[in-house]
Amino acid sequence: MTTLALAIAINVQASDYYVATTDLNIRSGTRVSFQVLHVLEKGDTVLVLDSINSVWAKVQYKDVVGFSSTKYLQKIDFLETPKVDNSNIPSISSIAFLVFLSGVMMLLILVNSYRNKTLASLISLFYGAFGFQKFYLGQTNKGILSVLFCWTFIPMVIGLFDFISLAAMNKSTFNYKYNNGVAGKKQTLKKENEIDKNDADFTIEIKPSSLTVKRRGINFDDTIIDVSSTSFDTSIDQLEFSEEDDKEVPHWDHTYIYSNSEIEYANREQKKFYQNFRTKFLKFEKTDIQGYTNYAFILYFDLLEDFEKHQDIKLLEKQFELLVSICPETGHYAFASLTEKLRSRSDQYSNDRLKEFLEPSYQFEHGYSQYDPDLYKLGNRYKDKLSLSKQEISWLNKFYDPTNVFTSIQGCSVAVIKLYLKTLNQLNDTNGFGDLSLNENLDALFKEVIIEEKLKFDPQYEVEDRAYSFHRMEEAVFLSIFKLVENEVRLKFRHKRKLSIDSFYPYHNSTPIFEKRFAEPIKKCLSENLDTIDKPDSQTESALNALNVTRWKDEFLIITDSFHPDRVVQFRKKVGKLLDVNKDNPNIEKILYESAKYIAKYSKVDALKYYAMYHLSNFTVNKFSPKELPKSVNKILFEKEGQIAEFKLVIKELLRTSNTKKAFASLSQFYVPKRKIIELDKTEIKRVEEKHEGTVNLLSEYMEVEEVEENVEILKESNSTYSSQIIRGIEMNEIQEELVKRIISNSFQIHQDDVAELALENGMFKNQLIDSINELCSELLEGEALIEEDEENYIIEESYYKEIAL
Amino acid sequence: MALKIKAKEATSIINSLAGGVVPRIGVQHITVGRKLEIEAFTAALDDVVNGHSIVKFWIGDFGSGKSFILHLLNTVATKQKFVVSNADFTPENRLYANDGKAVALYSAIMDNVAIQTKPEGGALPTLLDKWIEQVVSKTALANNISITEIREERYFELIQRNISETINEVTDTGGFDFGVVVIKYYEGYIKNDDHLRRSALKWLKGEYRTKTEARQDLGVREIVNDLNYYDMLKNFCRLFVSIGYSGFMINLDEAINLYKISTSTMRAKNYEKILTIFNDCFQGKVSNLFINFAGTKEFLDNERRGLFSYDALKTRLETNRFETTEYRDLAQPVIKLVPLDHNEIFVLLKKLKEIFDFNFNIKSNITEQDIHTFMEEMFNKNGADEFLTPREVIRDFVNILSILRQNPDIDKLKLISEIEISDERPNESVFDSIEEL
Repeated sequence: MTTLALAIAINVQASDYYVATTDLNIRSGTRVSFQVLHVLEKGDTVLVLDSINSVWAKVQYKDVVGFSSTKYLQKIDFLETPKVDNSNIPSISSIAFLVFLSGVMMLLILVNSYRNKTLASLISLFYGAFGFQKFYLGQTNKGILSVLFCWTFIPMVIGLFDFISLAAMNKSTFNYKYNNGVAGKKQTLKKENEIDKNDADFTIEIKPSSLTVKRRGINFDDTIIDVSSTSFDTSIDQLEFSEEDDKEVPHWDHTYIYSNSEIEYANREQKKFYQNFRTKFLKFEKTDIQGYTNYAFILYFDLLEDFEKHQDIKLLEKQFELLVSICPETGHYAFASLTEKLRSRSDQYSNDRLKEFLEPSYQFEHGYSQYDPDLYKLGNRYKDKLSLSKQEISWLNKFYDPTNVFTSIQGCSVAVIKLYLKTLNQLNDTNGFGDLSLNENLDALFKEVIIEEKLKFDPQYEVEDRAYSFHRMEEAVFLSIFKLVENEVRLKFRHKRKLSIDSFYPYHNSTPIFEKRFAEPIKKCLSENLDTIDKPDSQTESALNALNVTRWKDEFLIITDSFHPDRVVQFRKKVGKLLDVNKDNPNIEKILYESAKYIAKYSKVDALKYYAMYHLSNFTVNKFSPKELPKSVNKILFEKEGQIAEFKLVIKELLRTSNTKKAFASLSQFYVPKRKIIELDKTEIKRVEEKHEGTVNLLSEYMEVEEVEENVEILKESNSTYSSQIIRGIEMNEIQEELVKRIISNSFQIHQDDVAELALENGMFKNQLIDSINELCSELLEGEALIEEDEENYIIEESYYKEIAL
Repeated sequence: MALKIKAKEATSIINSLAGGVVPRIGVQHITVGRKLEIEAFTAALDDVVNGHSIVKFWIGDFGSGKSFILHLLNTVATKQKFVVSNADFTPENRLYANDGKAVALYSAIMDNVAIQTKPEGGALPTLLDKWIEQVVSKTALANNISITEIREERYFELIQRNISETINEVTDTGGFDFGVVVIKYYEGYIKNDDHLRRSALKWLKGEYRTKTEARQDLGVREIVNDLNYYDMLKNFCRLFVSIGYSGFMINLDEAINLYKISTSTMRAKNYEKILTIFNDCFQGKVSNLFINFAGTKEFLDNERRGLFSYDALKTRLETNRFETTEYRDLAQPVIKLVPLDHNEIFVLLKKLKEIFDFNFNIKSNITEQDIHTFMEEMFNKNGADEFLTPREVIRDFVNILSILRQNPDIDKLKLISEIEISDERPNESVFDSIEEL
């Protein structure tokens, strides 16, 4: 009841407060020629004491009283806070009953402002069935419950319990519990009974209408403490001031402070410190309260109370900023109160200010909150790394980091951000959105969205609701842009999957508008800028390859397309690079396999190496069954039999030891024909030589065998022989001698017919003649024939002849 | 070890080997690692001289030394006063045929008859002349007619009778026609009728294709044909022995061509012929005949197409079951030639170097180590496994020695490393195209 009354009083009072809409002079008279007493800043609140005419008004700003132009003063209209009843409307009978009860209660309260223990126990004994002792002890709610449930007799039992407990309780405990620790006789300091009443069992009144903070989704206490309901005649003034050294902050256990009146419960020292603290604070001096937040909270309430008097929102803001810097714990209460105050004022300044307040990051930036909503947003994370401008940071902070597998790769993330910022910068600088700047376009979009989505705003909280909606839209816009950009980068980086861009959440109906206003120009701009994206660095490549297991295929195709048989080394290098950036690729063995397959035609050793690596890279995988190379490739690689087996041995060894160096070394030598070492056995050689000696002798024996021809005798009979004239050591007859002579003279050959003639003349046959000569000479020639047949001629080997010639 | 070699042998060896052929003389000096084979062969030769007949199968793969052994046989046998003949089986030459292919083989054999004074073959007329002269001088001696007179017309009958007598002694089957032709030859010899002599030779060589032709020229009703050529060979063998030669040696190479005969019946008939010869020789039906077959392993022991496909031959030719690589039985008809091992080749090369030095009377700057290096180089060349043969090793070695002799300053190791070898094998694709029946 009193709350309501007070609120109305303030409203009436506050109707004389005005706010400066611009910087405004306060003059000593009603003309511009008068001296300027003070310059009001925009948003300063003045008290209009008297309006002189339509142009000038007598105003008071702090201690200054002067005249200002009304043109630049805007009246502050305090908005009515709609009242909502706490209780359901009860039936008439119950109302009557309640009236009766409350009458009894009031009576009791009035009579017994100081609660007597004895009385209390007696009431609980006799009237326990109706819960009267609860009323008496100030536990009104419990009392009402007891009355309502009196027919169950449970309250009676409770009453009996209460009686026993109250009777057993000693007086000091009773006083502490029910009389705020004040003994009955010292009750002189007591001020207002409400305070006492609320003291032990303080209740917080909740105004459902002030739950806007919850709607904004900020982590914030649901409750707003109604601090305006009580007014205090604080006794602070009465306390002595002392210029004592206040370095030592008096200890004050942390309690929950609900109003500035709690200073009452402070001890002397504490009060003294508070006075000191307050005085300094009002002079904007900072005092360290050493973590005793109670002082700060009391001051907070004090400041609020002061504000009701001066209505200077700017001052309040400044004070609160200082307060928060002294005691951060007060931050969110201060912010909530400020917002509340701003909302309740209708002037332009307050409106603008409120809007600013509603910026998501405002609280953190001005110290009202320890929590930085942008902490994990992209702008904050990359501002140093990419040395971003303020604008760029804010563009990035518009939305929460939409982390996904692609952007979690830093290189990709950076590329997306760069392109995103570049695009936005470009569009913003050139007014790329249909000749609108980015912000103008956002506003335009918002207007259209409101229409499209038929958004309705609660008039009471319109500013906030609008801001809230706008922020949501803004987030959606920038996030969508970011996703568009990301998709382009994904495409450029050959990331397999594209991001699906949802419809324009949460304003799905407005998707076409968004498309028209933002997506299209963005896409256009993107396609122009696409080439400026840096190629992914090796780290990024490898991360991308780990995600996209077939990404290497394109690059491999490029390598093979540009391949030239003379440049196997280059191929090796390129594939090496490819393998390097694919080291995290779970399918890396496929690259090795393909490489082996491809290079087999040109460099068998390389093919073998790749194939060996293929085996090794897959070795750790369970149930790995290595794929055989295609038959055609196998044919190239393993021409000879046994080479496959040899290769398999190398692989086996490699898999056992994982010693690639050794395996490569042996593979490099794979096609070099194995040099066969010929081992010679000395003793064996000796044996062979001996055997050979035997053979030579045997054969010589056979080849030099001489047979005694019988027909020689025949010749001997018919012809007398004499020692040969031309050949030494043998005896020849005339004809033989004649024949040899003839042959020799005829350059070692003679026609067979001539021999036949000669033989005939001498009564011999030519064959016999020749044979007989050969016979004679064979011993000298070691079995060789002196005269041999040659076609139609007989010939004598010249060398043979010389050997035996005289 | 002092080298007991004659200068002309050395020259012959170096010249022949540089050309890749087996030398005619001095071959014993390069016969390394063939002791057992030579022993077996000489023993066989002795047997043949003493009137036995022998058939030997020299079985060995490419590069195992078949050709060398055959050459060696040739040389030694010639020296041993054998009449020697070489012939190769070809698709046109076989042991058994009814389309003249067997006679073709016979013709080839008779064409290549060689004796010491005529080692290149074609010695048949010489042999006949010799024989006739023998008969004539014998007749002259027996009838006290001077050698100049006996050629006169009036003694013709006498000599003819004597010839017939000798022919009857040495021939059995087909002996009559053989005798008639020989007499015709004598007639031509005495009368200096060249046409008659040539016709007679043509008949003896089996070059008459039709009987009519033969009758026109010589007046005989029969010719040498596919069926009776073997008898003719036997007749010749006896004739040669009667002239005074130790025996008749026939070397038949490339027996794989029998293996390649596509129809199994024809193949079997050829193998049957071999069996006949084999039986004749070892049963003593024919004397002083020495027949050598040379062929690859397949020819011998392929159960489907080789000699072993013919059971009668298989049982006769099967390897002595107790033979091992270490203890070999070379008295058996089949002698398997084993390629020379490294030690043997080393000895051979060493020997060659000595011969070379002896021949040119120099001291080649080739150490044993160099020979070793050379061998390694050779065996490590591309394809050495498949087709390197001692022939090539030897030829290249001799060539290197030759170059070194003429250019003493050249880097021998460089020379060695530059050797290239080529495939000298017969074209294997011929084998592949044979259709299996």
